[in-house]
Amino acid sequence: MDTFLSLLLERAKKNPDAPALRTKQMGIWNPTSWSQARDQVSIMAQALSQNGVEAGSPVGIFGPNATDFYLGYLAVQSLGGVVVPIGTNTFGDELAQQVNGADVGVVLAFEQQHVDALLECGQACVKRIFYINGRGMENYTQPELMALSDATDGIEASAAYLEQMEGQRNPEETATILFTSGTGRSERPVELSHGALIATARSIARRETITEKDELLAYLPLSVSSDFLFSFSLALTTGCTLNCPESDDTVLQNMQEIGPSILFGPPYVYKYIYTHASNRIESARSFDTKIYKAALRAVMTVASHRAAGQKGSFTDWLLFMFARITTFSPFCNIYGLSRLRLALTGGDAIAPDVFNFFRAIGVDLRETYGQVEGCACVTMQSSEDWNSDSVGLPLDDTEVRIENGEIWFRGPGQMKGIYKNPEATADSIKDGWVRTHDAGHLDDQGRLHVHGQIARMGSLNGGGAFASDMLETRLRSFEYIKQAIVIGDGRDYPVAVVTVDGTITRTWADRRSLRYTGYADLSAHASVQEMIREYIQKVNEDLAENSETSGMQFRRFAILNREFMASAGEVTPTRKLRCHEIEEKHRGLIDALYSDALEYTYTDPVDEESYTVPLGNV
Amino acid sequence: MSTGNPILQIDNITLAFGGVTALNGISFDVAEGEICAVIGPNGAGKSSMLNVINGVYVPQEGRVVFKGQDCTKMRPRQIAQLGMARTFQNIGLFQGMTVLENILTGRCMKIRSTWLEQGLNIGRARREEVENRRAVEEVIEFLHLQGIRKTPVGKLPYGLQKRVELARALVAEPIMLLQDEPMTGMNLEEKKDMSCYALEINREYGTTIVLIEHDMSVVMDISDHVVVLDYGAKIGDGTPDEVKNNQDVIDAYLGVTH
Repeated sequence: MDTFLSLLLERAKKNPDAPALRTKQMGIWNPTSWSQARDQVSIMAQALSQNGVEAGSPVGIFGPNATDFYLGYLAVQSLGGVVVPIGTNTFGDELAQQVNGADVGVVLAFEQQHVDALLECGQACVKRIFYINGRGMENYTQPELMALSDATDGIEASAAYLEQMEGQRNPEETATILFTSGTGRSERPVELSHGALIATARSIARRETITEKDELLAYLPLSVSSDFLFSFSLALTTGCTLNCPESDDTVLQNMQEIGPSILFGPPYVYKYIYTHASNRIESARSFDTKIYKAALRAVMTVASHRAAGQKGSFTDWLLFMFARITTFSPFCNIYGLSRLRLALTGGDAIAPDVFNFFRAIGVDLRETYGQVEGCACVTMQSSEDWNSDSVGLPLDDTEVRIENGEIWFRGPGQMKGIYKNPEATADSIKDGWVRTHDAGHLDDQGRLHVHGQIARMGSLNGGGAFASDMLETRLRSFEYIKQAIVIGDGRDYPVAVVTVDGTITRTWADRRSLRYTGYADLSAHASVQEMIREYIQKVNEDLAENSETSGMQFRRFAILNREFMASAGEVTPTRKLRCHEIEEKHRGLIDALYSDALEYTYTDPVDEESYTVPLGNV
Repeated sequence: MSTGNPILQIDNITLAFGGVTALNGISFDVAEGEICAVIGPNGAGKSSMLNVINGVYVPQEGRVVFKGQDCTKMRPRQIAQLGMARTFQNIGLFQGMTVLENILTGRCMKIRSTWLEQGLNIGRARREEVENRRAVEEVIEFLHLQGIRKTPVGKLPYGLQKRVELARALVAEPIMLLQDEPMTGMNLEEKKDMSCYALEINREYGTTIVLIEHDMSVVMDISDHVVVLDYGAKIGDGTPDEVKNNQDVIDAYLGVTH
C-alpha cells in the first residue's frame, strides 16, 4: 500500500536522474529530476514542520501550476498534512469560502497578487502565509507573511527525514480536500485519501499502459479535481514527466513545444481548438478552404461509418488515409497534438460534433465520467468507442449501478467523506455506494450513458419530458455558440440564452462587412441573430425526428450582450455554467422570453451599463 | 531612491532651428536614482530637450554633463555607451521582427566579439550569445512579455508595442532611461501598468528615469521631481507639490488672459 511520499522515494531510488517535472524559465525548459524533487521536498517539509504543519493540518496551495507547488503538495503530505489546492484566479467570497470551508491554517501562495487576495478576504483561520515570488513584496509588514526562501534558509536536504516520515504515513490518510464544482448544489469540501487517488490513477495507467516515457501538461486550475488526478497523481504513480506552462496565456504555445503524449481537458479546451481552427479556415484563401473542407469530409465519412459500426468502402478508406497524412498530420503538429496518443475529456458533456471531429482527424479522444467524490474518474471510454453517447466502462474494481434512474458507484476511488460534515456524508454514501445526482443508464455491454443532472431534468407544462443538459450540449455543438443555457422545467416551452464566440463571430462578420462597435453590438446584430436562428431551427428539426425529444423544440432564444463570466460567479473554474446563479441573475431576461416582447432592456450589474437584448422567435 | 547627487546637469541650453528658438537658456539637474518628469503643453520643447540630452541635437549654447563628463558634442552612440537608453514617442521598433529579436537589438552595445567570431560561433561570440539571451529573458519576465516572445511586433496592439520598446531600452542595462511620452494613446489601465513599470524599474534596478508626459495626473503620482517647460523656457522646477502650486504653471496649463 502506497502513499504519494512512498511513490516519490521509490522513484528517486529507481530512476534518480529521470525528469519528474519540467518548467520554462528564462525561455528554456528546465527539468527537475526525481532525486532533486526528493531533496526539495525534504527541505520544504522541514520548513513547514518548523512552522507548525503536522498530521491532519490543512495547508492551502494558492497559485498557478508551478513546479514548486506540486513539490509543495508532497511536502505537506509527507508530514501527514492535507493539501487544499486553490486556483490562481480565486478571490473574494469564493476564496473565503474555500479557506474557511477546509480550515486552512497555513497557505503557500505564489506571488503578490495571491497574498493580496488572502489579506483582503481576511480569514482569521489563516495564521501563516508563505510566498514564493517576492517581487513587489518589500513593503509588506504583516506578521503572518514569510518568504518561503527565508523559511527554508539553512535547512539541508535529507532523504532520511522523508524516510522517517514515510514510516508514520498510511494510505488511509486524507491526501487532499477538493471542492465540488457547485454547478447545482453548493460547494462542498470532499476528502480524498492517498489510497483512493493512487488506485484510480493506477487503474487508468494499467488500461492505457502509461509509462515514465509519457509527457503531461499541467494547465488546469489547481483546485480542479482532474488536475489533481491527471497531473499530480498520474505523474507519481507512473513516473511520467509533468510539464508546467510558463504562464496562463502561453498554454497553447507551451503545448506545441512540449507535445504532450497524454492530455486531459474539459470539453471547452477541445471546443477552443475546434473553433480556433474553424476561424483560421474561415479567413483563409478560398482554394485552401476548399481543400480543407474536402479533407474534412473524407475523414468524417469514415468516422461516421465507424461510429455506426458499419464497414466503409476501400475508396473511402484510401481517401481517409490520404486526408489524414496530407492535411491533418500538419494540423495536429500546429496545435501540438502530433505526439498525443491519449486525449481525455470529462467533467461535462462534450458536443458530439467536436468529439467526432477529433476522432476523425486522428486524435484518440475518450470521454471519461466522474465527480470529485470519485477522484474525478469513474468510467472511461476505450479506443474502440467511436460514439460520444456513452462514457465507457467503469475503472478496475469499480461498480456502477442505476437506482430510480440515478447513477451510483462504488470502488477503490471513492471519497472518504465530506469534510467535518457527517450528515452530508451520510446523504452521499449509502451502504458503501456513492450517489452522483446524475441520471443515466447502462447499455447491454455495460457501458454507462449519462443523461444529465437530475436537478436539471423536469417536465414542461403539458407533461412532456425535458432535459436541459442534453439540449445545451446540442446548442454548443455549433462553433459560433460559446455558451448556452436552456430553461423549460415547469414552463410551456423551452427557451435558450446563448452567448456567441467573439473571435470566430468577428471573422464571420468582417467577411460579410457588417458594421459593429464591440462584442455587445455584434451579438445584437440582426445577421448574427439570423445565423443563430438558422442553427436552432436545424436543432429543432433533429429533435422532431425522435418521438422522445420532439416535444423539446425551442420556440424562443436570446443572445446575451456578454459571455457568462467566472468573475460574475456564473462559471466554474472548468468553465461549466452555474445554471442556478445564471437563472437568478437573468430572471428578467428569461421572463421576457416567455412573453411576446421582441427585446429586453436591462442594466448589466457587471459594468452598470444599459443593454438591449433582442429576443428571437425560432 | 534618490541619493541627491546630480547625475545629469543641464546647463543653460539654448537650441534654435533657423529663426525658431526651441529651447531658451534651460538649466536643471537630475539627481541619481530619481524619477524626473519633464512636462509642458504641446510645442513647449520637451522632445527637443530629450534629443539634446541624448545627443541627437547639438545645442548652440550651454552644456550637458552626464556622470561628470561633458557630452554636449558627443554622438548618440557614444552617449548610449555611457549608459543612457531611450524610448521614442512614435514607436521605433522593427515591425517585421519578433519581440525577442527586437529586444535583443538593445544589447548591441554589449557585444565585443568580431563578426568573424560570430559567423563561426566560437570564443567570445558564443559566451555573449548566452549572456545576451539571459538578459533579454530577465526583461521579458520583468515586463510580462512571455506570451508574445515569438510574435512579430507589427501584429501587436499599440500598448504592447510601447512595452516592447521599453524592454529594448531596459535590456541595455542603462544607468539612465529617457522615455518620450510613454503613455500617449493608452487607455487608463495601460497607463497605470506603465506607471507601475516605471516605478518598479526605478526601485529594482535603481535606474534614473527622465520622462516626458503631458498627462499631469500620471506624472504627479510617480515622479520625485518635475520640470515644467513652456515656449522653450523653464517655468517650474521642484517636487510635484511645489509645481502644482506654482502660479506660472497653472497659467500655462489653464491659460490666462493676457
